[in-house]
Amino acid sequence: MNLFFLFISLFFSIDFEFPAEHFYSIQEPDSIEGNFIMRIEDLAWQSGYDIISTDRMSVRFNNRYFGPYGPQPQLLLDGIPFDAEFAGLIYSQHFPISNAQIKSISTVSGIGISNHLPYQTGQVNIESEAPAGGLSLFYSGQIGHNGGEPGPWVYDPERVSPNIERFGPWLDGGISYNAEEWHARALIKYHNYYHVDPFVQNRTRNMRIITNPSQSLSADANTYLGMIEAGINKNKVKMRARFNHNQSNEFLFFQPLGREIPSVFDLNQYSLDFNFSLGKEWALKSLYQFTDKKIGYRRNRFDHNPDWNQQTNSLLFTFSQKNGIQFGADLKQVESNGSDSFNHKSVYTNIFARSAINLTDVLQIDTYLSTIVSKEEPAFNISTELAYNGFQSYSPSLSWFYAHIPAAVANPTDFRVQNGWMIYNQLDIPFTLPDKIPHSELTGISLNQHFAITGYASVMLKVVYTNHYSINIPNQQVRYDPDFNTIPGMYTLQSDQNGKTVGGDVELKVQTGQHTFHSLFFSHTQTLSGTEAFINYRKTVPKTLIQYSFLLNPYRDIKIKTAIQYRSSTTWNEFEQIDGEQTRSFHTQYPPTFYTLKNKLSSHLGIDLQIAKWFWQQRLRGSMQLKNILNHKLQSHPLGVREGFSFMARLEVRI
Amino acid sequence: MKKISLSFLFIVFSSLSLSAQNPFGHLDLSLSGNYIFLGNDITKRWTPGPGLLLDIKTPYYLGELETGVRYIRFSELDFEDSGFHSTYVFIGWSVPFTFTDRLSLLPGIRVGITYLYQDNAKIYDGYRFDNDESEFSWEMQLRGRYKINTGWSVHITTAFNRTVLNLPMNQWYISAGITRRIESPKWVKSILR
Repeated sequence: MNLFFLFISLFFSIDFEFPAEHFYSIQEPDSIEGNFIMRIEDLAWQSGYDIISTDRMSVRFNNRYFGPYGPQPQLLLDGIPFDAEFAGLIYSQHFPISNAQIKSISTVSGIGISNHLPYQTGQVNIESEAPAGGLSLFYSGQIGHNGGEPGPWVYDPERVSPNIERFGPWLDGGISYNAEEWHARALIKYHNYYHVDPFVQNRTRNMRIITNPSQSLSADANTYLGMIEAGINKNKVKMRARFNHNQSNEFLFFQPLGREIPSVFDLNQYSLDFNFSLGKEWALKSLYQFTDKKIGYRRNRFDHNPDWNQQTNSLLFTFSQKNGIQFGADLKQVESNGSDSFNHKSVYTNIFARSAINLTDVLQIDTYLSTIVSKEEPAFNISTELAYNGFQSYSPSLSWFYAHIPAAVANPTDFRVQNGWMIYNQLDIPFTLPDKIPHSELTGISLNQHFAITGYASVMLKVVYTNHYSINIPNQQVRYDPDFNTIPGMYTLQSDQNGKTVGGDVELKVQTGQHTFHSLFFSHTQTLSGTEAFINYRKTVPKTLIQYSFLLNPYRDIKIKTAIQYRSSTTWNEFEQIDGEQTRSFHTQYPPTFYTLKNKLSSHLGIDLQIAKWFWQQRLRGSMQLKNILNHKLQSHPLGVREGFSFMARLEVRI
Repeated sequence: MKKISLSFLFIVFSSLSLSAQNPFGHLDLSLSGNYIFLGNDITKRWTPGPGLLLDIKTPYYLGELETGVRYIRFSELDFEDSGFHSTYVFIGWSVPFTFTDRLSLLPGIRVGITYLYQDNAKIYDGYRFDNDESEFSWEMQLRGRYKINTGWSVHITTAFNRTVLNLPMNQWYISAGITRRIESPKWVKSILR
């Protein structure tokens, strides 16, 4: 009630002025301003994706179609894909861009084509701020902290509590040169993080081998990244070349094991992107990428060594016509290597086409077709949307899709194990896999309605019905261990599960004045029916997600954002056997604090406040984020951190 | 406490004036003596001494932007060798309500970090808690300012500060001080804009 009172007072305290412009297009994918990207979960804000994380750095994007263990969306930086995924987890430290340089993010989910690139599960395109003309330098330092340090109460034996962790420092630096017809830029990043959240520290520290009890916790994770890019934009040709090298010492949460493996990540990616204008009507995009990715040994108690390497060559051609026709081919060659002489090669060709045809003056049909040709498993995907454009301020559309996701994409780890990778044996994971992993198959139908209200507000309503004909659900029924929280039980890939869901989204965007903007996103999904495994799996997806933000931009140099999120509870069947068991903070973190492991995670209401201000004629920007100011503990995974109040501060310099 | 803080924020925000100011046009340099007159357990187990606050304010459109530092010494009371120094570094924003030509009232909020430096490290069972600690703090303040002339003014302030330790530190302050107003140098305006 008090919060409502506060926000009403904020709302009515500002004069209303109605601008002629600044209205979000309803034709574009959902997009958000990038100024307040402080942490990775900010990327998914009001996108329909829920974020699941054990350490707040590595995440799974969780949407209504595939759940938390489904294939992750394709990540793009300025229209060029980049790889930041390791064993199904996306590591934000591996993004070849500083959070401070993100201008906007657009997301789509499902199947289709966006940015001239076909996608099978979804796409997140990060747009970076255009560098200033000429030579410019950039530097950013970010650090964060959770509330709850012991302070002077360390002197009271009855009230002393453990030290809390620190985020960062995250140090990014770059140089760029922007001329009329060409540009070049380089970026280096160093990100540091300690896995010492009291809920996870005992497990992560024990994995790294206990030495001297008085030694500081060796639960650090650090990443080094370097990126260089050059591009030409002349007449009818636009070309960009990008290279990034990433290296990090990490903790990889390996779902089939049911806990982390200390690991070293190494990634090199080369990209060549060409865009040609072919006359007045046609354009051609061609993209070549080579990615070399490794997960290697980091000293650990069990001597676990993932010893995995994957090299991918991909070549894409997309022809696009001004009036909405697109077609092309995406060729991929993937070679995976691992311990025990594991070697597997696959070649895939995705032939795709899209056309937007006006059936009448007011009725348009947009169809996308994709055929994946492969020795292992061909696949076929189709989506179509029928849109009515007869009204000025109202646009209804009906869309339908059928998706066939090969096992190599939907369940890549199990697919490799089935083709000879001995990782489960090496990690002593008892497991059972089907003789042949079936593909995932689903179809969905949605009714979408967009309303533009007087040009200052828009409403989007969406109802979605999804039928999963076949989905393979990884399941690791962990058992309890006092030192490591879990030891792996029998890992199974519950194949050929099926079920139906229905859900809806409401999105409301209102510009109440020249300097104020409200947006509200509401999503609800209900499981209608399904196999027992499907129904249990769907419980890991929050049924209800509500995200509201209020953006105040009173003057050119300052922005203030308030964000409120409600996330409903989730239940994790995999962790049933450890529900109610005890875990504790690490023994040298005096005094030990005890926690109860739970497989049911409570609903959560969180409020964040963010402020960013420019100084020195827009050369210096200070940003601050107060996260979860109600201090309700948020936990998105049963083995993940329980985060209360925290704050992040960032300082950027641009010269 | 939540109702008081939310009501305070309502008062601040619901009364915003639309009068334009010359942003960053002048700097108010204030030096104040501080005294904690009320607090939670922290003030019962330690003895806070008088403190010193230095802050700089500058007009920023609808209000005044400020930054500053406050130092207070907490002496041991219940726990041997447990005295510590507390330094609060903050940024803040306040809104001036002018009653007469000379008298104005400024409610405001501050956020920052409280750095605690203990006289001695504490060791339990071989585990050492280091001397230095820092934690996030927020503060609400109400300043009454009396203008003596164009260059000088005096003020009395009351403030509530909360440092979000595991056992939060809550303190009520009263402070009194003097302010010198100077024209902002060009380089200062250039940095702040």
